[in-house]
Amino acid sequence: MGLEDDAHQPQPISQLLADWANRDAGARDRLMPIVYEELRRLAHHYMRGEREAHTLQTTALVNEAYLRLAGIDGLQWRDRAHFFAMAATLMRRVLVDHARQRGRDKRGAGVSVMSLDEHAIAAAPAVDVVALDEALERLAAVDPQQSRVVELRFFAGLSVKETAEALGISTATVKRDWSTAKLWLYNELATR
Amino acid sequence: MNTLNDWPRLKRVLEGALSREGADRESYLAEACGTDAMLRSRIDSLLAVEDRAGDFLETPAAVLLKPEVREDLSGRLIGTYQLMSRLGAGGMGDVYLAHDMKLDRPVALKVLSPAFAADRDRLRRFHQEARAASSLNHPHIVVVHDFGELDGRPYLVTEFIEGETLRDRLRKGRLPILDVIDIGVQIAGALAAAHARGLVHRDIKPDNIMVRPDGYAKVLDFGLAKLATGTQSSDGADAESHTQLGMVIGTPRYMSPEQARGLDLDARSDVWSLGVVLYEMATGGLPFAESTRDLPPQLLRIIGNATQTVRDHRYESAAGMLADLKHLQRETESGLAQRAGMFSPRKLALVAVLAVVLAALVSVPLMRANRPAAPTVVQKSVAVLPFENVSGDRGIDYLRLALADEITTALSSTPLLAVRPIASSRRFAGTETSPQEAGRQLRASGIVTGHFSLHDSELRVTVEAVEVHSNRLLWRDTIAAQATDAIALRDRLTSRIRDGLLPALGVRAPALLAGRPRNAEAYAAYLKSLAISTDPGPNGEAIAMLARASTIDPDHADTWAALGFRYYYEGQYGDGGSEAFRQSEAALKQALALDPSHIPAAVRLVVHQLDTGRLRDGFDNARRLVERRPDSGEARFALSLAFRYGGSLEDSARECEEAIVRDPTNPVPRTCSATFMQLGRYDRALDFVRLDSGSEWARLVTRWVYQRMGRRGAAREQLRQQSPGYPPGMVPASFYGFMARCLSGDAPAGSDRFSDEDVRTFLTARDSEPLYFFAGDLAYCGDSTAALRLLRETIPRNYCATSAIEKDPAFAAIRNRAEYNEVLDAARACRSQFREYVRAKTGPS
Repeated sequence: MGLEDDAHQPQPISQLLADWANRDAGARDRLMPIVYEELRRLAHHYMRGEREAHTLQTTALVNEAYLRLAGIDGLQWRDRAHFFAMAATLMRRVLVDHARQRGRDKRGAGVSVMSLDEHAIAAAPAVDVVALDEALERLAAVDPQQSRVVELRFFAGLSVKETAEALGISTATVKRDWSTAKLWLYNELATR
Repeated sequence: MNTLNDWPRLKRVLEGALSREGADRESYLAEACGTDAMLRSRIDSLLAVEDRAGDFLETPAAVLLKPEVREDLSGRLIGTYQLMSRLGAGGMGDVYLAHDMKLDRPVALKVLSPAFAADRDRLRRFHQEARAASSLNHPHIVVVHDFGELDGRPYLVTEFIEGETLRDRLRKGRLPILDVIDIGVQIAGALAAAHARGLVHRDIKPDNIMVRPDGYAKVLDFGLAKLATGTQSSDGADAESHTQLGMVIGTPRYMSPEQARGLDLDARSDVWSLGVVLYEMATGGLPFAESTRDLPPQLLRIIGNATQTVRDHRYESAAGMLADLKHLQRETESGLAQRAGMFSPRKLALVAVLAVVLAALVSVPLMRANRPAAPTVVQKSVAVLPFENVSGDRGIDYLRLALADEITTALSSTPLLAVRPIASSRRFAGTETSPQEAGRQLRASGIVTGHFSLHDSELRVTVEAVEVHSNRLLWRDTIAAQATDAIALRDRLTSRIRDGLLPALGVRAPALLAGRPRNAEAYAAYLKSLAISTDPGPNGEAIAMLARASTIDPDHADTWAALGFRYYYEGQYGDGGSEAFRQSEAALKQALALDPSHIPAAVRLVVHQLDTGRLRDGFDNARRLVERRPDSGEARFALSLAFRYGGSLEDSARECEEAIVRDPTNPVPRTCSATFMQLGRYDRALDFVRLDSGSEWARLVTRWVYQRMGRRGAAREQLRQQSPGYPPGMVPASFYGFMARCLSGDAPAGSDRFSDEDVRTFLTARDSEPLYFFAGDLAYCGDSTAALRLLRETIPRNYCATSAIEKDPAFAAIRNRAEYNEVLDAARACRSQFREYVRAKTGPS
């Protein structure tokens, strides 16, 4: 059985992260499934013994996945940014797949993904993740970096600074990309 | 049209517009768009949503997590059982209502996790045990009909009880007292029968008790806990099997201390669990709910007897508990049982019983730390500086410390972060020290600080985290709340810390922060009390505020802890006496019941125990604290104290060094100077005194060090600066004259003597340690008789460090006295017993 048997892989993970930081593209591909599995496992873990559904910010999930995979002594800011960047892509995929599965016509009932603002849960409608995903894909066709900025900020909860670090661009650029993308995306999603 | 046409240009102009405002923006747009009306209209439509898009996407995505869905097997036929509907899904498996086709009766069928099938021997033992319990034919034990296996998943078939679990019942609130007693009698009866046959349930909790609508109760799942947790070996195999099965059996809340530690279990473990269940039924599970006051003291006594930490002090089996419950049932039904609320003199007794119950409840989470745990590597340390009040309103100055204190508490909730105690950083209040300088002084890698201001009635708090070595801003956030709503402010602050600050520091947020305040008035009183001095007068005011706050909001751990400290000072330096100490202990225990990870409260409780001769309890608690939070300097200090009181000075010194490494500026470990004095390491003793330099306490201890170093003149100078009468109540009025004559050489050795009454004044000290050091003064200055009387008193009080008189030069003059050898022998015996105890507890190493 051994549910926890494969939970201890500090060596390969730290090594993969290091390789990846050194621009080893293969490392990223090998990491993805591990991280995906870890996110899944963590989500499961969070639910252990729970009877009620509840929401969890992706930031918390990704952060915990990182801590568990990289091990506490592997903590490095640069690795962390890289890790979050990758996790953002995964998160996006997971959330969008999930939302697709549930069917877009069922909006309102069983919305499984939302922009969770504790002060405005009632006021802010849930973000249509499928629409957001499609809009981001179109944006990526003309401005891949800008699309990525949104992905990191929204799907993995990276700060402006972390986003800048992960993408190797300045914080000023991140802020500009973010503010203009938000206006465009808001319009796109609002006028659908 | 495609809204992304010519996006680079659109984006550039949009960026330009966003960086400008008002007329400036207008003129910029006019120029940038020129005659391109299409571009201008596209830009305008994007800018039109500027306000509405402000918060859009700003909060990262969240996922909705759902309980794992196991395949619903309803409709399937398993053997002769037709599964009708799923009744529930629990950690161990799913329960179905099934129909027994052969015997034509309803049954409950529980499908277990396939993990349970892994160990065939264990599965067989479970079958035996479940059958044995079932064969007792006890009316309150669920009957087991059959066992089987479905696709590798073991299942068991039991009688079907139409009702709900006690857990479901408790969700609707606490039970009427008659029902509590009634269910208690039924379950105790079931357990008594099982215990008589040597069967232990091991997992008594509301989830395992079925209650029919008519109040008839039955115990479920005998033997299952053992199957799940493995054998009752104490060699750590338990913890292993927990993880293998991927679940923890038994909620810590109901686990007896010995169970949490993975020791052998017997009937008394079930007694404990039933005690906790009774408590939960009676109170709804909230310790110190107002409603506790209405409970019959007899019931509280039964719960108290059931939940004694030391199992020898509990009922031997459920039989004794059953007898007491039945007795109470008869009295209650005949209206004889006293209700505590009606008898005010009983309240004291009630509080005492409650303290026992709580002490028992508290010990569970602490004990859990006894399991071998993975070593924690602390990577980051952080200090929270007092906040700056940038409003002109002095009335909210108290928030400078209060905010820092709240954030310190919130950050301390994770063991992955070393948080400098507020005692270390409060001296930076109102100073111009830069965060970096403060960080260096406090040896913290990160600094959290900020400011607050008042806008109309809204309080705005800005919190920043700065990395010390790079001066990089790691995180910043502004939280606003109505100034009158301190709780909303705290909640927002806490959630931002969890979701923002902790991740920014690279630390995972803990599961939950305990002991949240619920009442605004009480919370405001608590916050204000933080800024009040500990001098006797103001301290009394703080006690009054906190006592009231704790009545209004009895669930706020920090209020109880603060009250515990205040009462301690009241006892030590005020007129509170032993009553204040008692109040202090009770308040600290309540704080720990609400928040078992409250380190300052736990440390203070250790101090209490050592002060009053409860050496082993003090040591046990200190050791658990260190195991639980090895990163905490204060926890190390508590252990150093326990080792010193036990006479293990080298161990004490080691823990003192561990404490100071973790909290270099926290004044709390100052009394480590005693350890180093007793070891003859005077320079190191002075280092620890300096943690609290300038205080009356420091002058006293510095004098003691100098006397031992033979520096009589320097000692005299310390004495000259000391306020006469310090420490209050501990020394007779004639003491300072005596010391002054002695240190100036005006009195020939041995000519000065204390009266019996003076000696009795020394002996009134609650803490045994001062007796040792004042005895040193007396011996040094020639009153050997009084010195020996003080020393002798330390022995029954379990102050084994008195064995240090052998080497401590302060006692050179009394070594020729016959009583000296008696005291030394007794102190050595005290020390060896303690060492024996420590060895037994910690194993050879």
